[in-house]
Amino acid sequence: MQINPAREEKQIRLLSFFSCFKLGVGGPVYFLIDTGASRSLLSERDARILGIDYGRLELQKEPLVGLGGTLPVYKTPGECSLTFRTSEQKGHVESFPHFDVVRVEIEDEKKRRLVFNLIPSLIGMDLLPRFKFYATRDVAYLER
Amino acid sequence: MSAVSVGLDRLNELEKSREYLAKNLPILMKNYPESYVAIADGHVFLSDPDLDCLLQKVRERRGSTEGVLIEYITPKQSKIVI
Repeated sequence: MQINPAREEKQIRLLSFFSCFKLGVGGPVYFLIDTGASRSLLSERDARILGIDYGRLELQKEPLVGLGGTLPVYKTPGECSLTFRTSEQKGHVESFPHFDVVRVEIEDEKKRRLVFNLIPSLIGMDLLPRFKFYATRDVAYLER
Repeated sequence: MSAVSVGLDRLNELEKSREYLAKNLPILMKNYPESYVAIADGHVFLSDPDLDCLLQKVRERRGSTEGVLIEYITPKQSKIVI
């Protein structure tokens, strides 16, 4: 079984259908494959598109640490799943007991808007080791 | 209907739009720089620099965001380091 991520310039992204039954949300999300991220996470931009209410999420003690600083991370109240389309046009689901959702809290509105628009959702090392991950000059895919 | 078939149906519904986005990203970068675009049935039908404004327009037009791929278009994406 293969899942083919799209290679766009210097990024490798994967379209999935994100769903969280407990939050009553579901919709398409592009995830950037990031081998430097210890955990997968949903960006505030995608959380907004999905209609996630931060009041129903639990604030985590540990913030997200990146090169640009730290951002608060919230946890979904229940299981979330990502459905992928395989190269055989079948569905493949990966489940998570909960999912991290980041929030952009920066005082300067211009900077906040820039970071909000640019931070993508990530697939990190909690999911990637479940697959073989191939990335060459021309193609990239996950395989199991 | 199982979760996997619901998710797959929704992804199949978006396939035309996903292909459109992959093929036309350089054109979209020229036409909609620093803007959100809403893509359905393989074409851009709305755009706005502000996400909340775009979501409102999409809901007014279609009732919901179901079957719509929403993407932020910027050449700056390649400069992100996470």
